[in-house]
Amino acid sequence: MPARSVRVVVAEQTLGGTLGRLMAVVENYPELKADQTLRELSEELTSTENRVAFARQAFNDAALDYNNAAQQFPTTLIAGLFGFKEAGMLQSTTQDVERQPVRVQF
Amino acid sequence: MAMRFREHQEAAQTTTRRLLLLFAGVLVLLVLAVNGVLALIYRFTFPWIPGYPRFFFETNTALVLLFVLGGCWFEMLRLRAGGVHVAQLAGGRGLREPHGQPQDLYEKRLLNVVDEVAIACNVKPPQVFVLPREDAINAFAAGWDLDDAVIAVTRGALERLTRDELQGVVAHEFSHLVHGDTRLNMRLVGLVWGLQMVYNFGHSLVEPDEVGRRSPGLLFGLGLMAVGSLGWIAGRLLKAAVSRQREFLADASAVKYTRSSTGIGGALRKIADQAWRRQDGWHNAHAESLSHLFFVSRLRWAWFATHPPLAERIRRIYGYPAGPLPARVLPAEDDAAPDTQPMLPALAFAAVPAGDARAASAPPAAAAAGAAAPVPAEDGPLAREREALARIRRWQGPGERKAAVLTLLMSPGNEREQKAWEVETADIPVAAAVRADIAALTHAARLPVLELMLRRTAQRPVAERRALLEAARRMMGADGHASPLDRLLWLAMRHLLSGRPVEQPIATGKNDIAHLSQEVAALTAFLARIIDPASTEGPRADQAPLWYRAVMRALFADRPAPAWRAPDADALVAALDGVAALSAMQRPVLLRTWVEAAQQLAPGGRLSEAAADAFRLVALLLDIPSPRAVADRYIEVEVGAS
Repeated sequence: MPARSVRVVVAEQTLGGTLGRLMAVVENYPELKADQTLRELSEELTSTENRVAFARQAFNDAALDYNNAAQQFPTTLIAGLFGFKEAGMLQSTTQDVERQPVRVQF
Repeated sequence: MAMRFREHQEAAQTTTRRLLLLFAGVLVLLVLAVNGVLALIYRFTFPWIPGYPRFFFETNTALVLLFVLGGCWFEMLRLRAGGVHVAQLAGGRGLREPHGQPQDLYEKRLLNVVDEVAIACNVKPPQVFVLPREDAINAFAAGWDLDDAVIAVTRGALERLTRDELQGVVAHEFSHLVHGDTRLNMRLVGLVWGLQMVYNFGHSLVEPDEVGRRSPGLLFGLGLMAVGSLGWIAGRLLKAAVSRQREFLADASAVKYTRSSTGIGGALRKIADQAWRRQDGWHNAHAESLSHLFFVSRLRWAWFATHPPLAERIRRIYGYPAGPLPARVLPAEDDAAPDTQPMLPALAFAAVPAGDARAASAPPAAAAAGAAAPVPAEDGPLAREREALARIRRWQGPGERKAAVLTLLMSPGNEREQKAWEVETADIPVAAAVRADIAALTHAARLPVLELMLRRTAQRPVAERRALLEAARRMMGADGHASPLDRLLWLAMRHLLSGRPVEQPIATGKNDIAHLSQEVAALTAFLARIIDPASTEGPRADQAPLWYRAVMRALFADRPAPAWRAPDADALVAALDGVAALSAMQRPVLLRTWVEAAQQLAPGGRLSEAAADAFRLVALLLDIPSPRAVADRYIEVEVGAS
């Protein structure tokens, strides 16, 4: 699990970083923003970010349901019997550096 | 106050269970009632026969159950045609293979949103349909199980909801699919139909046959009708109550899946706005009969209503009765639009007066029926401009375009130019109407409309374009004097009419601003006459104007700037040719420097109209996008461009 989490984190940072900076520049030029291809790109980016976020949310929901079920009365006996471990939930990947607003200068 | 969705979900599930138990109770009561009534009637009709016929009660019970459950099964069979069939019946067009393709950015966005919510719900993405003829915001989910599932959304919802709100609506529909509401609904519909069959059977016993004789079972028939109708009413009430609980459950689940109450809350508020304006009608005939499947349904009679009242749904989501939101058409990519201020497509915020802005953000304290939202004030000048723009977009003919271009190029208050205008447009009958419409435009619309007309003319034959250029030159030269802005306009016109793309040289190391300093200075000096007119004329005409000096400082901070030379009338073309050699990456830097210097010098940081026009035209000539400070001063006029 840890190795996979690290790969997820790296992939998310690549996605969020470079393309995010491109879209931040585009924001400053309303005429560029209105261009058809850029609009489609922007839509695809938004959708991809949302999909990642929802997948994380779905995973965390499932982990939470599992943890809850394993700790309620009848099922906790079975969980103890078969040694079910508590599921870890995904943590936020943004580091403090990334939480600063993007400043665009060129 | 955020919605505690898990609590709401559990409450809705519990209530549903109770209602379904009640439903079973009604069924049992019905059986008992039928038996009781029939026994009573039998006793009444045949008092001399002791006891009851053999299997009297068993037969009654069996028949009732046969009717009810059989009717239910029959109805389910009928509706088994599948989700896709239902969607097509409602007038839908498919957006995924093999039922169709997405045709514009709105539909692609819907597909993306459905896929995202499917990930959040952990289910396979269903088929997606759009109802293109419906303007009202609505949606439904149909389908027997998750493999057969379909989500259909109206075109009005695609155009009028932001991305978050669309996500909320789709999540609500997904909740119906995930919780098996469609299946439950179909079963309940079947049961109610079965209950109705008891009544129907009774009715058939009561009716006289062809020769007018009444059958001996008349009283039994009446009894069955009485009991059957009561059972039917009870069944419908319970079904409606179950439906309402499932709607609350779906709302709570939508909040859970999207982790946001503003999405679905905003959608419901916009629907309230549409309902209040009576824009929520349906165009498709079949849609009415499927109304119990939809996201929102108009109230027929409160107890039989399959959906809870809109105001109650909004109150549960927000925790207080939030007012309606204006349901305007939004551009497809505008997912950054704030909730309370959807971007009005044909108006720039720069031109919105205070009254309109206040009215556009709905006050939270609305009457319970959600009917008290103030309509944004239909201000005189703005409404006139909107109507004028609607007419202007339809101008396709040569006469209209020529009159429009010439009107826009005309300097106001200039008698000679006016006379020249009249001469040039003498052969155009609609010229006066065109002029009136253009007069209704604010500054924010003039240049965009000019560009629109010129782009349309650019596709015409060369002769027509040349004639237009000559006419413009004649008109502008009528008073023997051409202002700098006029020259810029004419050059931009020529550029747009030529239809040729502008060359953007790549950086060769010799064509950056430092190397082309003379040409840049010449163009800046020319523009100074527009940006800073006060200091280029009059007694200080031999001194470099403030703006020019500010720009030179910004560009050539550490090097000696080119000396100021008061530009002569024909400097513009030469200067532009010089700057045209500038590389593609340096052009935006130059434009940005000009704009920032102008903003610093302008009172309040706001560019003058002439300055904004000049910058926009130069950006057009150099084929670079205008920076925000300039672009914000204008509005989008092209239909379909946003």
